[in-house]
Amino acid sequence: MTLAISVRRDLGMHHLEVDLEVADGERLVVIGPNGAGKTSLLRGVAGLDPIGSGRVAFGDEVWDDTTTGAHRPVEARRLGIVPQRDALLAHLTVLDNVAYGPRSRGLSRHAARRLAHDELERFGIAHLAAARPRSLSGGEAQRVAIARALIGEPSVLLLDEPTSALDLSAKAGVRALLATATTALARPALIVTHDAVDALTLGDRIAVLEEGRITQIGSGRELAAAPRTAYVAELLGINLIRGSLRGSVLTSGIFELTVGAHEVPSGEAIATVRPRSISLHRSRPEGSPRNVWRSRINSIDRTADRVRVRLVDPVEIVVELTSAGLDAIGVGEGDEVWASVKASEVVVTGG
Amino acid sequence: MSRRRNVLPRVLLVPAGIAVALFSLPIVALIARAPWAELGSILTTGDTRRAVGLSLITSLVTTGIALVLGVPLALMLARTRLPGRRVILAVCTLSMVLPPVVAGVALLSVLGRRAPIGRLLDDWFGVSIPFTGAAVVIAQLFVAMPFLVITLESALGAADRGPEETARALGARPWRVLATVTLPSVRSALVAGTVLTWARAIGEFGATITFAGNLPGVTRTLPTETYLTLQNDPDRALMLAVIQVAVCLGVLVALRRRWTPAITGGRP
Amino acid sequence: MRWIRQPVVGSIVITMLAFVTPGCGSDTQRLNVFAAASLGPVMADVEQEFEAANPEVDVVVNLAGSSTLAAQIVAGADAAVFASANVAQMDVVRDGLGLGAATVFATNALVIVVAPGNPLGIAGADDLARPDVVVALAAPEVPAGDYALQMLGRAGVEVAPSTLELDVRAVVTRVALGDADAGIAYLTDVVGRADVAAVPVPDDQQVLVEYPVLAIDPSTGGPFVEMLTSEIGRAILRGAGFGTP
Repeated sequence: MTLAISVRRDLGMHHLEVDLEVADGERLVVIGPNGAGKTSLLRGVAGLDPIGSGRVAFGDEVWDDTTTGAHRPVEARRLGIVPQRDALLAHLTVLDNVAYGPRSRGLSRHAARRLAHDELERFGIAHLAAARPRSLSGGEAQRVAIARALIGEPSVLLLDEPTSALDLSAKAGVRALLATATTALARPALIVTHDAVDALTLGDRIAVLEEGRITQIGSGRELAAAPRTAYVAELLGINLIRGSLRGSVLTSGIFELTVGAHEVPSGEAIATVRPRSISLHRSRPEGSPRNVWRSRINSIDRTADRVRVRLVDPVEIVVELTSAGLDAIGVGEGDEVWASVKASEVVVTGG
Repeated sequence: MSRRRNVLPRVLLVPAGIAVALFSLPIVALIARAPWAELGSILTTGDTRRAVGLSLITSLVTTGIALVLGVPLALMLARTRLPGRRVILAVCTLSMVLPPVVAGVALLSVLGRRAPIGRLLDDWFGVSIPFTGAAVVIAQLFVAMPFLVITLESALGAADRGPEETARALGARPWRVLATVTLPSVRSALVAGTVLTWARAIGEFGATITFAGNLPGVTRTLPTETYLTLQNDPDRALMLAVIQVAVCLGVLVALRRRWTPAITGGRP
Repeated sequence: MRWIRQPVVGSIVITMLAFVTPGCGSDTQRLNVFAAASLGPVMADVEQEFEAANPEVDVVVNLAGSSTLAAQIVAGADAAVFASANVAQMDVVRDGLGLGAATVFATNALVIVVAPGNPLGIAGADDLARPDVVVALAAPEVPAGDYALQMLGRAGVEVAPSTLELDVRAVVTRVALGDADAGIAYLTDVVGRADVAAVPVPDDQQVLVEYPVLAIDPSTGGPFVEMLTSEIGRAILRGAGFGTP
């Protein structure tokens, strides 16, 4: 069932004006700078904050409708929510935290705890059952919070900055967990973040919220290829390549990238490269860049000040250069071209 | 642990020392001069037992009622935008700092037999509140309940709402949120406020004697008993005073480090 | 001392000094008179007369229950004169300080205090035992309460009071406010009051209330006691409803 959101609310600094739909099983990421209204939007969908004027509905269930005055209180919405900070109830153990939802919905303490224990096992954190939130690491706490949100089969999953409080290695783990868990849930998931990697790895669709309005919405690729605002270009217009890392080489299919200095352990990893860091050449270049490969221009997106060139083989890469720069090389769509990037410009994080 | 340099001027020890002496010497003198040899006989006197029993029962009833009435009030003040919120808080504070006899007079002027509400009670139900145990409880409530309300309201106002919202989002209905998240989050203020309320109630004298009067077994609480005994049998009065000191001390010691910071508002 | 020149600070300091050092530099002597509460109005009038006759003396009257005053005097309170509501408390002081005999300077009588117009028709001590009558008495620890019990004993009546007040005037207040229907207090406590009425007590039940007075410090207190027992004092006493021996 679809989560239909329509919100019009005055946030002081600007107006929040959002119309969104999230389908079953879809992960919609709302990304934007701080103060754009992301958290207000999420809280409005949850029912914790007013939506001003508008409507929020899940399938046939009307959660909020300011024209009819209908309002379903938060506790009746069957939400799975992971708040931004201090998600866990500090005075309860991990087990009781996870059992809190089922218990609130009528299960006996015993049954709720059993259910919670099973859930913790599914997530591989059953050993934390008796711990108190205070003693958990950031990553562990977030796993518990996610387990708690998913138990009891919520209608909708709402996540507020799921990885922002975590260190790099923990981020990777939680992202992976979220990906599998939300896919298994097959319900709408609304994720709010300001982290580009979160957006690109988790979002089936990404909605960019700037000053209360959605400036662009689409898949990560679409946004990277044709960003409509400077913010999108700056934030999302990065290349993301998944592969397996060994030492300082990331391998993705037949493509190999030598990466810059890092502390990521060997294994699944993500490499990010800024489009502007990549150079294009007509023929194979000499010189220092360690990464050189041959590719073909798939599309060219020209705007007044910059050009974004999309290469597809052997991996999908977007290159940004000036109009003049592209003209100087003298290539067009469909032409073969050489690309190069310094190893130091390739940033790798855990996958 | 590193030794911190004493940054305060030494001479402050003098007034501080005088303050300590002011607090402690009377108690020490009391304990020293009390007729310990007669402790047994004094404790078992009918009058003593009646007064102690009455004080304990009324103060506990008062504390119970204060919880039933005061917690909801604190919640309403801290969590809703009640109109006149500031006025209510001011009135609470007022009854807390009012001279007790004045409080007693105020109670008489509304619940006395010829007073507006007292008259109704007398006419319709033949019930008159002054001179009854209920009057003792009401007098104690008037002066003591504000301690609970104000302590709790302050803690509730300062508490983080995040956990409550999380609880609601997990499906907890208002009563469950209250019982499992809100009140536990202000547990120490709740305990501290309750203890302060009880201590104030059991020590209440001026409002009690003015509103409830004095009758052994009915309204003659331990403070009243002590005051009257002082006139004829000072030694016995000393002992009764020591008993009250012991009770208060016992409660403070039992609560110790966990809760007294909430009362004293500072570090343990 | 520059800060004294500041007008506000200066005037506060000077005012405080005035309170703290009375008579410093001038010649007013302070005379502390400890008197039973029921002697209140009388003492105020005698104080006026005495100060008029002896302008260099500042009389300060301390009113309280006789037993409270006695305890304070024995503990060392600075009292020049003690006027008690009963002989027992005077003896406490005399024994405690090793003093000579006291003089009885006034007498009082007990009355039954009722609401104006006597709505419940209380005629005597017997009516105090009625279940529909709410009775206030003074606590037996204070003289008035003790006298009341004596009176009730002579009348052969058992009364269940609703309250035992800490001083006798509170008994009158209870009846005046309407919380009690009747009480036993001194005649002098109801004289001149419009908010209560008095039912006299027959002679065979009446208790003789004697007020002894003693100059604890004969040099300063002696003259005061003399005025109290003089015709001036006796006139004031009679005006307030006291008897004079």
